Amino acid sequence: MQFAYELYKLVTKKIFYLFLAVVLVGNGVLFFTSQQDSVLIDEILPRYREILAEYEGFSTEETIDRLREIETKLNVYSQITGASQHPDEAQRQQQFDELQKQFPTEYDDYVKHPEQVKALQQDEQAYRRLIQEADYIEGFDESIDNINAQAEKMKKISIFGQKGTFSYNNIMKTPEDFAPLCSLPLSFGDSTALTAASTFRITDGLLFLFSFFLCFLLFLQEKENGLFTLLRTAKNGRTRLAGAKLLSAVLIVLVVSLICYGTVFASAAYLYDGFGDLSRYVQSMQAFSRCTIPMTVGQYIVVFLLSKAAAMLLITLIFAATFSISSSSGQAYVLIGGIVCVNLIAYLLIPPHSYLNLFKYMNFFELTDTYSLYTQYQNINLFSLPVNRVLFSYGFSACLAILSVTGIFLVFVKGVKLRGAAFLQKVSDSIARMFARLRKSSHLFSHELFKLMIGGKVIVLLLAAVLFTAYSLRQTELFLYTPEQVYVEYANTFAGVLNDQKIQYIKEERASLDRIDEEISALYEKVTQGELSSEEAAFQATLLRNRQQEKEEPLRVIEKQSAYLQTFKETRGITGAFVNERYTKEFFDRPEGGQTISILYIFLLIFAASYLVSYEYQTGMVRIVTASKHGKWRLFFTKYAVLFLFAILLWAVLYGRELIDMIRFFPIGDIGVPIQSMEQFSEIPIFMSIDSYLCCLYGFRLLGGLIVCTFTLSLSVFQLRRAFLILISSAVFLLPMLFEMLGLFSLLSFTANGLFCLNEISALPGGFFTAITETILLTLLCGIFVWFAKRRFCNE
Amino acid sequence: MKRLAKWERVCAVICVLYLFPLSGCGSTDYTSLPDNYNKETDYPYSFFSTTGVAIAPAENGYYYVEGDFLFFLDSTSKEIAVVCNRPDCKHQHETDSKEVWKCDGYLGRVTFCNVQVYEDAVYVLTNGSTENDVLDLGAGDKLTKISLDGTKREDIRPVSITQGFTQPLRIHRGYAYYIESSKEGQALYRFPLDDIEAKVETVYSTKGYVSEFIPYGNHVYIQAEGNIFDYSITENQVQLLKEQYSLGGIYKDQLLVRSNDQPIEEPPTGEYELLDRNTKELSPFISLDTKDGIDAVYLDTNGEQLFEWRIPLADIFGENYVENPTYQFSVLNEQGTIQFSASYTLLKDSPVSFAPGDERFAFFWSIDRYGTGNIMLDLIDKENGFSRTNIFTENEKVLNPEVSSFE
Repeated sequence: MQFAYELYKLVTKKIFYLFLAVVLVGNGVLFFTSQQDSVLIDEILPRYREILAEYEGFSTEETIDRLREIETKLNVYSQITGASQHPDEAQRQQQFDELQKQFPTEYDDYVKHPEQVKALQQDEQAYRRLIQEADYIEGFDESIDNINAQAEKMKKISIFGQKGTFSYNNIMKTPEDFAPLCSLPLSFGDSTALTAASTFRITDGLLFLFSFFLCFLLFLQEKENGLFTLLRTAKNGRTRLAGAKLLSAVLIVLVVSLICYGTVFASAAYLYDGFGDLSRYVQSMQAFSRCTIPMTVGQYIVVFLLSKAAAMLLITLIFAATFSISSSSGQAYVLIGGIVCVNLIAYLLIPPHSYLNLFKYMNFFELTDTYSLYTQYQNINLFSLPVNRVLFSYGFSACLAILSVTGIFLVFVKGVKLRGAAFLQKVSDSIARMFARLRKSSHLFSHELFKLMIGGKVIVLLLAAVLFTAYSLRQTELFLYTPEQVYVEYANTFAGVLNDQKIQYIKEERASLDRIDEEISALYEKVTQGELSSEEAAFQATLLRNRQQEKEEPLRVIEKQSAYLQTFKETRGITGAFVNERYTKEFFDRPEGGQTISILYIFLLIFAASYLVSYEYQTGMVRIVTASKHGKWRLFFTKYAVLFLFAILLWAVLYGRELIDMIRFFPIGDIGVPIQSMEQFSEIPIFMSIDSYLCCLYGFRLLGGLIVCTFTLSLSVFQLRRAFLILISSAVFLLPMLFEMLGLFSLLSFTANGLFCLNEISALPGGFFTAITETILLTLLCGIFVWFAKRRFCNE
Repeated sequence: MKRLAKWERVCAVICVLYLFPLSGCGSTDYTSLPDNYNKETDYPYSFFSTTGVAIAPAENGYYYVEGDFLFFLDSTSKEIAVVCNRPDCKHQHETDSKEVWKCDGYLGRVTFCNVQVYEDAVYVLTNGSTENDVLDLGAGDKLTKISLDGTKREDIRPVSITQGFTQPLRIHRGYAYYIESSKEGQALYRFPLDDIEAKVETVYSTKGYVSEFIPYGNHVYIQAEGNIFDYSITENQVQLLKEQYSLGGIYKDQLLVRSNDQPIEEPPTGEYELLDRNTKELSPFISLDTKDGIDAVYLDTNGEQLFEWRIPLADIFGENYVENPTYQFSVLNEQGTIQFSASYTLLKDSPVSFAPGDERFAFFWSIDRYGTGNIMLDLIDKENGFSRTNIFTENEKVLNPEVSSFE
């Protein structure tokens, strides 16, 4: 009954359906958008399927034999075509004769049946896919036998053969794990649909947000309403209530996950015309060659869907526990942000060979990487015991799930909660009293600033950002390899506008390097003529060789730069300049650094912006403040001003690190030269100096931050709960940036990503103007949104 | 006494945990070590030779780097395997370029093969990714510490070595030494292993070339511009030890040297001398018969044994040049008497290398560059009549596979 009521509470909320619709529709649309290879979908795969259908009556071995014949024909035809393009007639004929001698039948076909040859060559790509599959299937049993043989050999090696060590245990375990794959009946079939559906990770992000939203509704909303304490006092208000909420969350996430991932598979099946024979073993496909569980394609799909659902369930339980233990949305947001950050760092940054690599496999990103879990055979070292990665991940997840569930029950039964907020509240109160003594003013701006910084605890975030920036400032010089040092010397010599003198100098430098061999010969000539001792000649020759070796590669880079600048001047009429590319690339060509800071920036802005108005709605203070003097438009815009001030300060702190590092350790030189002096920015259509570009780069980032603030703050005026605000803003701004950073999906042209990733978007044709257009559009949209929000806030 | 608040107790614990590592766990003091070979901390000088093989002694075997992979040779079974404990891994035979880097024994496209076992770990040069090589200059090499079974790695620091041969970096008593181009010539550099932020020090630099160096005891003996220099680790000073002499190795705690004070067009003399490291006195040692300049002779040593390589000069230079010359390999005693001899025929225009090794094995490396492209490593079993066994043959291309992604 309680469980039914918890479900009822959810399904009666319109926003629940809205969010669900966004997730379901977005999931399908994004999948279709990501499958861009029309040639593969429309031409190669249909032909592949037709050819495979021709071999339907044959066994795998017979199919392989026939494909070998086709392979020989294709190879011979390719050689004949290549030979026919040989410029020398005699050589051409000789090659023809040789091919005719070696492959008489195929040669005959080529000459006498050109239309058949042409037809076969048109299907070459489809046949090559089949031949590749044939190679793989033929070699599969041998590869399994090789594992046994290799294991036997490795036992004789002392570094692996010591009993009780992880290496020895792993060597013993691996052949056992692969044993079920011996003599597995493999058959042909395309893997594109299956791998496309299995590797699409956007659904994970969407469901991540959905879980966040669902857990808020179930576990935090009542706390924010003040109903939680009341509920706990009711009959069945503790254990049973917790159980009912958990069960609701689990059921909904399970159903929605299955629908979402099922949609992806259905879409893949539609797009690629099915998964082929569902009863064939997945090991028939090379992508699954390391999967040690013998299962059919059909079974794999079911296992995959359930595994993904299990991963989402774990994330839901973690969120549920976090929301249960938090007393406010802001606290939960920061906690979840911290958990995601830790998991992401463990997943992405710990190398597989690191001494900390155990933590790499103890996170929910690892669990959601279901495709990799099943296709990559790996044993984790757990106290010298090799534990299969799948088992380890699910075992760890089960422990985490049990902990989460226990935590939830503890919260409901014992009323456990985080005490950090109380400490911060004490500090806030002390600061408030101090300010009150210093300045007895209730100036609107300072009051709103105080509300944001102290009441919203945003000052803590700002201090944390300052500490983070200070800590992450570069401490050591940029390490330059010897060729890079030589390049930097060259770049410093040529720095500035490229002119004829510099071009000439480069040519002379190249000529002098090319002359070195002659100079060395000349030295030994002198020795022969008695003009020089052999020792002196050897010494001089060594010096020359050293010089040649040292300068060859760096000069090649300089020449490439010079050629680019000259071509650019001819085609675009802009006179570029020599820049130190080692340093400029260090600054401009490190996308992951800028994207990480941008994600942190957006995260903190959303936290701050979601507090300022929603707090007043939540506490009911909004009616009082809007009724006061200056409580309408002045208060409204003051809130924006205060938030913008925070956005500017945070922008300066977080992005300042890049500039400080650059100035200290890799100065990019003259910033008055055109930005197009760097080939990376050759697509920027208008003349722009580096300093102007830097202004754009940081200006766009700041503008992006202000847009995030504006959007979130304006949305909060519509009386949305803080958690919803966070959710929606995260979906609009944070999630696309995360996808961009993880390389899952590029949304540079359709989202605010372009403002934060100007270096990346400028490298694309038309990218710079796209960024400007996006900026204008987003600013206009935000402006309109602000207008509507102002009307609502001011009760107009 | 006022009881500390909970948060104060937490802060105190954090402070203690943070400060504890600073409490006095200092680095090892190598200056108190004796001025002769110390197995745990010193460069294995017995493997030194002027040609160089990337092989290093370890307990129960040898680590060997070839191409982009790290191998281990078991001295009992004489089996050689990639240092990767995954029987399902195809190692150098992996054809999927996205999978190659997953092999534990894969070191990346490093410029030089280098390996040394030091303080229970294997130190190699690796090249992780192209991320650092923004200008495509072949940059990105770093010194990496690998556990003995290959399962764990830790990058120590980037190292720039562009000139040299196999085994250019040698670790000795807490420092890594290597030769590299300097502003005006070449220099011998070093950096400490336990302080990754410490700057690289210049031990010795010259306008010309630094061709070799051997760390031994409290010294590093440097061959530069035809002279031998002595760098004292304890005094941090370089002195000219002997002019116009070449370094052959360390023999029974003395330097095996040979005069190079003859015209360059003449073959090296067969006279080898011993240079006392303390008194700096030369004493005649062994005189190899060059047959009046017809033969070129070279001596290698592992500190206890002497190995002679002999070839008629005309076979490798001049009109009677032979595509597949034959070297005479001999083991000599201190009197120069041959105790063992065998012929080694080289492959066409292909280089060879020799490592004198330890008391059990020596190693002979060759490549069939213009034929099969195979690299071969042969074991010379000193306890079994110096029998030569091929223990490793692999194609050069297979050992340097294409890689399309890294971790």
